[in-house]
Amino acid sequence: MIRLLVRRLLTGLATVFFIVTATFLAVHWVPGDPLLQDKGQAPEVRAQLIHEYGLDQPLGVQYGVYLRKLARGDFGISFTQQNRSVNDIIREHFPVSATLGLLALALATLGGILLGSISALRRGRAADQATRLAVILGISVPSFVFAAILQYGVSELNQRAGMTVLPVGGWGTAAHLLLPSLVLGLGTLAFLTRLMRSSLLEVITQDHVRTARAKGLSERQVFWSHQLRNALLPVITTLGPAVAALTTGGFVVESVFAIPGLGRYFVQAVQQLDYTVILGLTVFYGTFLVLMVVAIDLVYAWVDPRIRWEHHG
Amino acid sequence: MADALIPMPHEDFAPLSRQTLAPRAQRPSLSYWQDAWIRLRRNRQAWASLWILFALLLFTVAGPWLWTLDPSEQTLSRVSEPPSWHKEALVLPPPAPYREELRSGWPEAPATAVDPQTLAAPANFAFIEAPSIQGVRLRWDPVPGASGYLVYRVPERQPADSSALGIPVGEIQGGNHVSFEDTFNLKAGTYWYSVVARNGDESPRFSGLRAELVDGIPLESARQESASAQPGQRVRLQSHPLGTDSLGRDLLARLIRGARVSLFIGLLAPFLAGALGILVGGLAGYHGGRVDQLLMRFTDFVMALPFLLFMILIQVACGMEAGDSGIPVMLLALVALSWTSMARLVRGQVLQLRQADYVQAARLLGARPMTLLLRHLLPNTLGVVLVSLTFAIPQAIFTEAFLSFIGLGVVPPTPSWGSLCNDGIQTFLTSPHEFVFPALLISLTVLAFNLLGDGLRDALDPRLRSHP
Amino acid sequence: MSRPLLEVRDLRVEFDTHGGVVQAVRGVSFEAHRGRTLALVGESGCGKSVTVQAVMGLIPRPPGRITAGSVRLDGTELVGASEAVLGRVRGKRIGMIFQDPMTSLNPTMTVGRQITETLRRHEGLSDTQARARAVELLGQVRIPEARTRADQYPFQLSGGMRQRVMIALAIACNPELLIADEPTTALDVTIQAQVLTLLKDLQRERQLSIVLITHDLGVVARMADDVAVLYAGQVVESGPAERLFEAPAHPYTLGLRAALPDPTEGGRRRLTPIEGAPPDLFSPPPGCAYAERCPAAMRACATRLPPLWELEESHRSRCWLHHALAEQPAEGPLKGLFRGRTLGA
Repeated sequence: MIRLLVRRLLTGLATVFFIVTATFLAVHWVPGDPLLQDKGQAPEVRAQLIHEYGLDQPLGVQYGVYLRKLARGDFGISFTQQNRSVNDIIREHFPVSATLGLLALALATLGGILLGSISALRRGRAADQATRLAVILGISVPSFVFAAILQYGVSELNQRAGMTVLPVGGWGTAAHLLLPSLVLGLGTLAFLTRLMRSSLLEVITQDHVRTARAKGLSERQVFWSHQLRNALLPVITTLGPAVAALTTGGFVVESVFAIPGLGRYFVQAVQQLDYTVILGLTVFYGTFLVLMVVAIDLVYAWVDPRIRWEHHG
Repeated sequence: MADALIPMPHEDFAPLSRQTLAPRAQRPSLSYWQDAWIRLRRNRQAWASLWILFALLLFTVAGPWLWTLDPSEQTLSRVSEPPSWHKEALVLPPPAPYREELRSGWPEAPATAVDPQTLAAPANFAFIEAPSIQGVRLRWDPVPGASGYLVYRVPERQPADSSALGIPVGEIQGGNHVSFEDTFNLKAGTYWYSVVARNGDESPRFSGLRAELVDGIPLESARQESASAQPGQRVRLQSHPLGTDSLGRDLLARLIRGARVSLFIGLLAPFLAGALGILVGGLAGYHGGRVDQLLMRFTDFVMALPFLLFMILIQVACGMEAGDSGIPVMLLALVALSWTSMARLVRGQVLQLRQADYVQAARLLGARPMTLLLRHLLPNTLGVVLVSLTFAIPQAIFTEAFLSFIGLGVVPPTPSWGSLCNDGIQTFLTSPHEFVFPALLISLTVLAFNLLGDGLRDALDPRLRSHP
Repeated sequence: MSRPLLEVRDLRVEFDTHGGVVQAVRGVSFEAHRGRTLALVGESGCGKSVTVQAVMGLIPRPPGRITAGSVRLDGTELVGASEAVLGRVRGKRIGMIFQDPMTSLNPTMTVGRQITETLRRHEGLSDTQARARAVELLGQVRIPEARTRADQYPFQLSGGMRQRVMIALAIACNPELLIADEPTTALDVTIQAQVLTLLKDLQRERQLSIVLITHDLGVVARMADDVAVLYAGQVVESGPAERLFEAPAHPYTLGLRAALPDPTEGGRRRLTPIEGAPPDLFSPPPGCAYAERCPAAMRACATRLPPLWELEESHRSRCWLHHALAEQPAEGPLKGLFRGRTLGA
């Protein structure tokens, strides 16, 4: 287990390094002048800024400086808002995105496991048909469409009720969380439901389940101690990509629902070509996602003994 | 044993000639692809999806010939119009110049302080001339003690009390100013106008007036449709079967043009990425050893990159000049990031097939490497490749829509379904059709590809062949 | 003979498939007695596995269903019994061993836990008691270092070891009947012999009744007291093992025997395969299912299902050649087979 942990962390670290380098090169490859935003700059102010951001150094030196700063956890200072560091931006906006993302993830995994199980166990019946229809819609309809429909429906509801039953945007109270986390989680929910269904359907036909029945276990015991655990394995492996989908899905959801999260900030930074923020946030997101994937790998190894032992010797 | 005593005719015990045996029902033997095709046809959802996709292709390819309207022509008199067909409209006379009405001899403000709660409702609230969608002109009698007036407008329902008046459309300064012209975004239909006197705060009492606005178009715009149009005539307007957008452009024409962009990206990117993936995966699987190690390590790295983040990053890095559509960059980014799963898939298949008995047999019989690869290895990976391609297409369409929606993809004025959604959502509450139609097209296309992919996967799965 | 422990009468099982309804079992009857081994023999697809799964109530529904017949365990009817009743029979009164020990054990659970699970269910043992008993059982099926092995996962054990675990699992609650579905097919030859010896020993120690499913006549010769030969979902011949080997009465049994090397002949005989394939069970023939492949087929065979004639005490055969009017084959492998064994008219 320790061996596995070290190995996964090392590959994770290599991936992060790869991401940092690729991002750095991509951002510095951009044609044009990153400081050209402010057209009416005096030349001396510009020169001052170029020096401040180290843009007059050779690329290799800049890269070294950037790496050294990164190692200290310093992501740099925003180009467009010169008094804000990327660290401040992350500190302020990431908790919002994380809250939203965690809620959506919980909704998607629990809902997906539940619906997928029901669908598989009631295969071919009405519940299964309905779930499959919902899943194929959930996979095929973009999240911004769900967002628009929900916002429209809820604002109609609010108008009918003559009061704000649910806020359709903004941030602050628990009620503000409901719609965006639902929209954010919906695609992943549909995907996980589908995966859980097919995984459970396969486990159901496996020989060891028949053995469990032949032991005289009740259907409930067979489900909880034999089918569920084994069917969860593929679901766990896709949680890494699921977290990534939720993180980037936040870009749309936070924009549509006017939520002050990191995703919305990232999109704004891209639109304003605020390179330090793009660079910093990409590295931050990348590191975060790689860490999540490592964590999920470890959870998988913990659940599936075969993986655990494979790396034993 | 009663059975043993069954009387039976002697002929029954004559030897059985093979011919008298009923011929065994011969099941026709089908090739892999024939069998898959039969099963795909039997899958109603997949079959319907195939038809839908065929229709979409027709829509995209033949659309511009059948619906020749210019997708970038703006008609500013007809913005955000809901779908209509062969609509006729009354040509409105050019409005007379509007002059504000001032009650002479009336004070602009009261001499002494007046409690706004005591102000009366303005009397004789009336139209100056017949209201039309070019403008509603209102007048009223001055109210003693007022320093100004507020004009409100609500559609459809008569406001029950002052709390239901909404937001004012006009704010008039001075107690002697007693007229107002409303020209703000008027549509045919019923409006309720209200006027309230105020002095600092506003009075709770108001006068109401109902305005029925007949649809019509200004003479100036009517002349664009037909040069001989006269006021009072009815002219037939250009049809917009799916309505217009917020710049008065025909939505159907834009959707057709957008379909080209979206499907171009959605089909081409997976094919290019698939070809690259097959190449890399085929090489890795066929050569094995160090080549395989190197290629797969690289594949793992690219796979570990957060997809959408790097999509955005590549787009940023490639930069965008004014006038660029963003399509080539989007293609490049999609191909650069999405070949990996195909490479893994093909490598796995080739590795597995290389060990298969029939390939070993072919090798023992002296098949050359190239023959081996082309005749035995690749055709047998075709099934999985096809299925994975069918699932990659909706993924690409989705990605394009997602990025264009947040404004980081295809750049206006080039329409794509995603950017049309982005345009449409701004006005979703007032004119939902601008959002609904592109959203519907995206959903329908992705749905059809997903269902087709499901059907193909089931049809090509040898474990599920028609005849067990 | 005393009342049989397991009595199966006219069992019929169908499955819905994409191609239509498959009549997998078409009226199978047999009996298993205490302390004896009954072998169900036949080629793959003849319905032997489906038969024993029906006995255990393990036919997956849908697509499968038992359409007729009865299964009595010591007089208790199991067909149509509630899940609660079946749950107390499975694992407790009937133990079952499956063909593939690689897939029949849960890969994510230690073998010890898989055994304690059944002990806790049926014997009401505590965790520690169940664990001690599981280690004891692993010892009884001759697994070395049983205590360590109990904490291991199936993938850490060899194939033979896993099948021993399956056996330990099946006998954990001292069942009266052990059903073994091709228990040695997936194993190496030397391991096969060990497993068979183990089964024999366990039978002797515990007065077990064993129903053994196999297509291997060698295993039958070694293990069986009684044999029932299945073909296309029906029993074509049944009786004591020595009678079936010495004097098979059905052309199919004879064909099976001719297709195998006989160790007593020193391998000088040519092996004769049975030509053709079993009939399609989507639309089984109205007459004898074997008629199409039978060298002595008569007209009646194609149109009328022969009855299961009782030739002597508990030796039965389903063939029209047993009819008194049937003309006996004068040559070929069936020559003289039916002399003195005709009945009726």
